[in-house]
Amino acid sequence: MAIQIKKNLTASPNPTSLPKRIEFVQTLRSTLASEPITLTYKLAPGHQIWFQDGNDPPAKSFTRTETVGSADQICRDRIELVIGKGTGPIELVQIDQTITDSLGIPQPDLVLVQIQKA
Amino acid sequence: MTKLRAGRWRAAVCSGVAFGTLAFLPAVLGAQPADPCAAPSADTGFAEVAVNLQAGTIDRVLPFDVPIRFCGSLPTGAKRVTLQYVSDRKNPPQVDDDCRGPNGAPIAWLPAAPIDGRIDGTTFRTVIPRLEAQRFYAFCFRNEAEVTAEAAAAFRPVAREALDQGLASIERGDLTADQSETLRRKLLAALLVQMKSDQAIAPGTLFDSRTPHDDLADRFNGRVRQVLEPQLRRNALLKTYATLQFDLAQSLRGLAGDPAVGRLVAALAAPSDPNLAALSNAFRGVLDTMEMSPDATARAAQGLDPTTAEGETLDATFDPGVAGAIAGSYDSLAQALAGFPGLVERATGPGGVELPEGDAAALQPLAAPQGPAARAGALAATLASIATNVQASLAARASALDLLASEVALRAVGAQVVNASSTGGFDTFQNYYVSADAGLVAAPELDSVVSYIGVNLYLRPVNKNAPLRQLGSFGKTFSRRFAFTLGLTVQSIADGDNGGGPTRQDLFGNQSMLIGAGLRITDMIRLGGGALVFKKDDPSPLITKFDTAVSYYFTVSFDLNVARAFKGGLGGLFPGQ
Repeated sequence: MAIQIKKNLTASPNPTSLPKRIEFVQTLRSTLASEPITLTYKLAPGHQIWFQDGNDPPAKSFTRTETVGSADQICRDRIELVIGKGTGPIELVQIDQTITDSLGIPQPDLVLVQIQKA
Repeated sequence: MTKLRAGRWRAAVCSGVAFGTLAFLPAVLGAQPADPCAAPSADTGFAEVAVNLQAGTIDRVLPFDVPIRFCGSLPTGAKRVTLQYVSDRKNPPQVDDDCRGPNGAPIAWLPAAPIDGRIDGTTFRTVIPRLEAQRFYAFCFRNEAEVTAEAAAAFRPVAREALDQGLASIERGDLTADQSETLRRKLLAALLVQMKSDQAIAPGTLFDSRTPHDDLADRFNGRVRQVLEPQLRRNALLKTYATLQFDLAQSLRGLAGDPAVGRLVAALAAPSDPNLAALSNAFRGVLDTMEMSPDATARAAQGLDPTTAEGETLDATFDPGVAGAIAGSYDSLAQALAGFPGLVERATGPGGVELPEGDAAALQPLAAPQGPAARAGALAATLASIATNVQASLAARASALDLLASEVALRAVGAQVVNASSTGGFDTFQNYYVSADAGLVAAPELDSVVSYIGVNLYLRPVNKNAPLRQLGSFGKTFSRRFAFTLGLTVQSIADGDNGGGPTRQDLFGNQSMLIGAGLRITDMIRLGGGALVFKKDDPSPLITKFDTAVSYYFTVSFDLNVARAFKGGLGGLFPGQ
């Protein structure tokens, strides 16, 4: 019914050089015993940092689904961050996240990833 | 005799005591430490100049055309000394105590990047490039010392405020390398505005403009990330907050405005039946929510106390405490709304409220798990989460700003101006126009080669300690090579009596005169040419008279100091040397 962010989104490793598989971690809790939610991650369109999910082409966003209970739950999402077309060199990149609960109510979070020279 | 011996012994003892006392005296008084800037006994390869920063003086006329090493005592507490200079051909440059020109005008100091001094204990040494001759100079020595703990503590909140303002306007956390560097410069500029004129950023620290950005980028980006992440998170949360609190207000108004809900709330407003009173008390929270006026509903949807017109909204506050209170209000509202299904169930069930026909059926969808009450409760719970995260973001940003501000390390800056001149007086400077040398002169017409000593007169000051090849090409150093020469032969060029008497005599006694010019081809060897003046017998056999005559000559000569070195060999050529 409603999602509470108990610990904000973090990325690991951070700082990092690219390309690198990044793990996003966040602690969530629902007001329901079990609630399906969607997690959408987005990058700004203009710059050179992209998500790469397996063999899919690089993308600026990706979505995951989770089921969250009424106890604190650590959610982990992994994806590769790569350098592609766009402005740069980027040293700090913002990854926006939107959590949408079962009623369609959104809640934002974000993390900044520091990019180091390889 | 005994008296005499005794007297001598006493004198010896006394003088011994006196000598011992004198020898012991320095140890008693504390031996004077050697002056670290005293002129070295050996050639160091630099022109050594002692500087007195306090007095603003140096100990000699500035040498020119050679690198200079200044040596002086550090101002108390100084950790760094830098040097720049300015010169003028005619007059000493006018510089105030703070290294500014008349009326505070800026001065084009040289070099553009100040020369760093090397520090050894309480002494500094600075090597500066070659200076020009016959100039007046002003040297600006700037020193940096640790600021006092009080000054550092006083500046920290000022720095924090400047950094806070500088970062607050950033709306995205995507920074390119150029944007990162620009941001660092912008923050530094904001800090400089707040700093006093006698303060500077400590070298090597995060905001030191002298340290290349590439060297600090990782550290800077890391610190900035810590501030921007909670700042941007708060911004994102507040955008959603604006939408959700409006959505919540609409949901609450929709619920409270429903006629069936209105009749239910009215029936439980002041029930005389004890059972209904108990029911009313059990669901007081949700009933109060349904009874709110439109204004109170709007305030409740903003997370404010609906009973007062005061309070800071979540998007206006920077106080984590206020955000925490708002989160608490939303949490209470969510809990109250969570009671709505129970209220409807109890009120429409056995022993419940007497409601008009159809109201019970009308209330059921409002209390459904996905219904309006559930949505309003979910909105309130989500807003509670948002407010809690805003609270955490405000606190995290404040901590990160404290950390960033702690990276602003100050140095106390002082300036001392030293006036000096490479001009000097006549006694000092005549040596730079005149040099002596010795060598061999060849006069082909006379078929004679003899030694000579001469004086060279330059048309500009020449420092013979400056190697010519370090000063530039032959063309550039021509004026340092060319000189007029006036000399005397050391040996006679007179010829002997070949039966017809001598045909030539020396101009003065046993010496003839050289008038000409020469060019140094190396630092020590000079080639020259000119006229050799002597006396020549009149060609007429009837006239016994010697007239002054000239003949061309060529010379090769050495600097006289070099000639002195040839004591055993060539030294014999130069009697009296």
